Amino acid sequence: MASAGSGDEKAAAAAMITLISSDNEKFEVTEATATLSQTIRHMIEDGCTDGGVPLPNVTSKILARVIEYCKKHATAAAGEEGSSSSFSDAAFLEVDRAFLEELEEFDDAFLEVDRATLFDLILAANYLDIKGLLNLTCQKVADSVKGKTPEQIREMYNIVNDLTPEEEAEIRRETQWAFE
Amino acid sequence: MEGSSEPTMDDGNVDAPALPTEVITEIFARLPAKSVGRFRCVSHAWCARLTSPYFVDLHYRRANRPEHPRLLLTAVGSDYDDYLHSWRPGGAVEKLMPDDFSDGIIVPLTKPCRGLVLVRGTGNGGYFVCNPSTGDVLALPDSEAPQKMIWRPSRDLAMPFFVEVSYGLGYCTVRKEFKVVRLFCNPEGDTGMAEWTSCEVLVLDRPAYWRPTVEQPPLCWVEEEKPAVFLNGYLHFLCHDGGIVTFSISDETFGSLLPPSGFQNEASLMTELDGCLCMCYGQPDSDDLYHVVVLRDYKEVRWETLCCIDRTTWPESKRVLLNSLWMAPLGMYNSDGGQKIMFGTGGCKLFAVDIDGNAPQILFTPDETIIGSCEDDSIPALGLYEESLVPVGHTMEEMISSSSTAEAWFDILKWLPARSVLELSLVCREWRAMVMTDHFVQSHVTHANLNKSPRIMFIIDPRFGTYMDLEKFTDGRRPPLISNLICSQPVHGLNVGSCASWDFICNPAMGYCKHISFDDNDGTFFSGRIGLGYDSEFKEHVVVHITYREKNLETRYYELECKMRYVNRSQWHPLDPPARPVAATPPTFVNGKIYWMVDSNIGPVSTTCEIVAFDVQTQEFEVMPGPPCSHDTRHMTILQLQDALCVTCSDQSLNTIDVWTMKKCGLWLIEYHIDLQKFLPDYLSENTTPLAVDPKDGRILLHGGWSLGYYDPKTAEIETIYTEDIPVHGLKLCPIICHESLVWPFCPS
Repeated sequence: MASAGSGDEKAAAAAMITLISSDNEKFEVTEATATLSQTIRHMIEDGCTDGGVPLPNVTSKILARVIEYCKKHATAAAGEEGSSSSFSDAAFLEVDRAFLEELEEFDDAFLEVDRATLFDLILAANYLDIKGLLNLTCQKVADSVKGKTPEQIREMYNIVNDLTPEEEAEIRRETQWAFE
Repeated sequence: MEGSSEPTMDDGNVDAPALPTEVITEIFARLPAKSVGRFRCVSHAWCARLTSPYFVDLHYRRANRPEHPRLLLTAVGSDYDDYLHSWRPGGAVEKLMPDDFSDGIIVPLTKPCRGLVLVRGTGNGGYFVCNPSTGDVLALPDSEAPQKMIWRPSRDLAMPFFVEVSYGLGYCTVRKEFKVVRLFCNPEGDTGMAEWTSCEVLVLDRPAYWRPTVEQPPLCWVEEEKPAVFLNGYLHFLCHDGGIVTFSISDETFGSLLPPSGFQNEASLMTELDGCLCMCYGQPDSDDLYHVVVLRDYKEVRWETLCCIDRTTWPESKRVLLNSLWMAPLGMYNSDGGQKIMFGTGGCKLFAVDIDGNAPQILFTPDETIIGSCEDDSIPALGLYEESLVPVGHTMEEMISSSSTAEAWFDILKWLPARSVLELSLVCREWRAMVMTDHFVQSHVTHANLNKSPRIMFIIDPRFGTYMDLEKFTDGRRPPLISNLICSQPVHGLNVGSCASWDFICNPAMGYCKHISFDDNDGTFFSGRIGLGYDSEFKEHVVVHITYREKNLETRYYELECKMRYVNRSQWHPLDPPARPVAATPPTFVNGKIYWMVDSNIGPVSTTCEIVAFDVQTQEFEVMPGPPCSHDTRHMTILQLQDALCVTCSDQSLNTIDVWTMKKCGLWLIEYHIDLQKFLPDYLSENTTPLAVDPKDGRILLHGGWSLGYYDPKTAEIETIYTEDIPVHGLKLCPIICHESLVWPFCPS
């Protein structure tokens, strides 16, 4: 991974992007890191990143976390490219596996955040169009809401129940009917 | 607000006097909706002004004048150009908007309500709210074949099903919202009433689905051909017995009105005329008297006969010309001779009669116009038209994508099992509406099954679509053993199967099952006859049906017949059959193509194993080389494992199975070599087929006829998860691998 690291540095010297959070904090990231976001990738392609990329929908706290994720996964992507272009012998595969495991551990640790932060990460991943992060965070919330009652979900996420009792009874009947 | 003297619309001509905004607004309010649409492009300020509710309202009042009625023509004439048209007395027929939003012919059901018209497409084409002057259309969810009207054999009484429905559109002035209301009923022939009724409301432009009314509707028999009439804040449903059920659009309560005395319920219809509720009766295509009765005093329920038409007094030529299976008054018509009543016919003709019902005056026939001559029909071919900028509202999909929170929940819920999704639709209206959208259902199948262990169910009864999860068979409960039953692997949330001589499409996760019937069923149990695929571009399932018209094993002569259809359509399309005969092995679907094994016993003699592939997008067959193995199809299966096309080949003498996989370059490689020798008698190679690979541990689920087990390629061991100990000849366990899926296609038989 040392070679991947030095490659990263070279790229860093070549192109840095400034991301500006909603609370006006600036983050310098490499182009490789930033382009994990399709939204930013399109901006770069259109040449409108000079002077920084304002992200009015993302706070500095969330943006820092998103960048942390992108940095890790950008390195992973670079590593994968490297291994596929070179001959892949057993040693390389071993390295790959170890790296994937490390990435999984990183993802698991990354998701150890409170409910509100997790939801903000989803919103940011959606806005920035980072597919991997979106799937990761959505799956995490999906796992946590699975098996919960509608009432619990409403409490957890502050959702107002606007269903009439008749409506609720009807949906219950339908649900039961679909799975009888 | 800008000052009234502020000059606007500066076109550079300094000499032209600038008009105040109010005046320009008043001028614009008199323009057709389409012209206003163009002026919205002038500037941001003008766009905002011309889209404001104030202007939309003003325009609606100014651009329409009751004394100058305009018509919406929906007829399909001899010069059909895929458009809906409009016409006004003295003018030419004009193109309005394309009519391709439904598969069926568009039928106007209501008079315009602030410009919006409720229409339906014939032949389960669905219901729509459209604004013909802007071309806006909103497809109403669950209206092609409402779930409440789909018969399900195992349905219990808690969810009765309905055979009739009547729709209506109304506007609530208090809350400023449009409501579509539908009243379901299950008629009771003896009493002329109904066994059950149910009424649902859909509010346009709100993130919500159909919801039941708080009050239960009375037990009335309504009909689809008699849509509700909106007047004075109430929807009016004309019932089978001639009674009228009213529904208040604002407080959603029911009431009733008595029909006029002397009313004969013969070809009766209800509409609005001269600002009053209007009832008509009398056969349209006869010489019977045709009665037009209006409710002059709504509060006192005082009906008044407006006119009674005796068509025998009409000149013969006009009688013949205007004879139609459908006729209805459309409005009052002022001509030089005084006030007349204007009628439309099922042949898209328009005429007016005096109040005494005499002197028919033909106002319009389509023959000499861009529409061309129209055949007469028993459904409306025209209705009223209003200029209006009133929007039909956003679709649920649009509402989700405009809210980041809704979008986030969409992305979260799509990972959950079908059952959890439906349970969580109880959280709030928005969630309920979201999970009922087609977009969600499609997205859900893709995501909820990623990297998940195969879900195994058993077919309890293939006729009635009863299925049960493997885990439920505890305490000695055993699944039935069935012979002559074949079911495919899941294809984007659906499976296809054949049992004896008939076929079905099912979603076991939801207990959905629909028979597919053919007029040319050859009656034999031929498990290769139906292939199921999914067209990811059209987002629809495709069924391909192959039968043998002739098959002679001695001469090797054969003739195939082949056709396809989308699951949601009733129309079959003939296909050029593949260049090889297909074997009686169930086909499989992988990455856009349905694959069949080629039958090596008929047709041209081939020394190699071949496969026939059908591309669901190009709708063409091709022949491809199969794996380089013995090609006796009796011992081969074709299937999909881990998104790759596989062919299994069993060697009976060694009791082994080779699983060949087609690699991306078209090369075939042996992916697994399964030695079953030590697992006899449960897993006899000729009876054993892989069903799926568990992506979590790479183990292969094997079906041995009476046993199910996971084979681990790393250890070459089998963990049997279910077994039957009394093998009876011909009978087998019928496991079915199914997707977590909410797919429930309306599938016309």
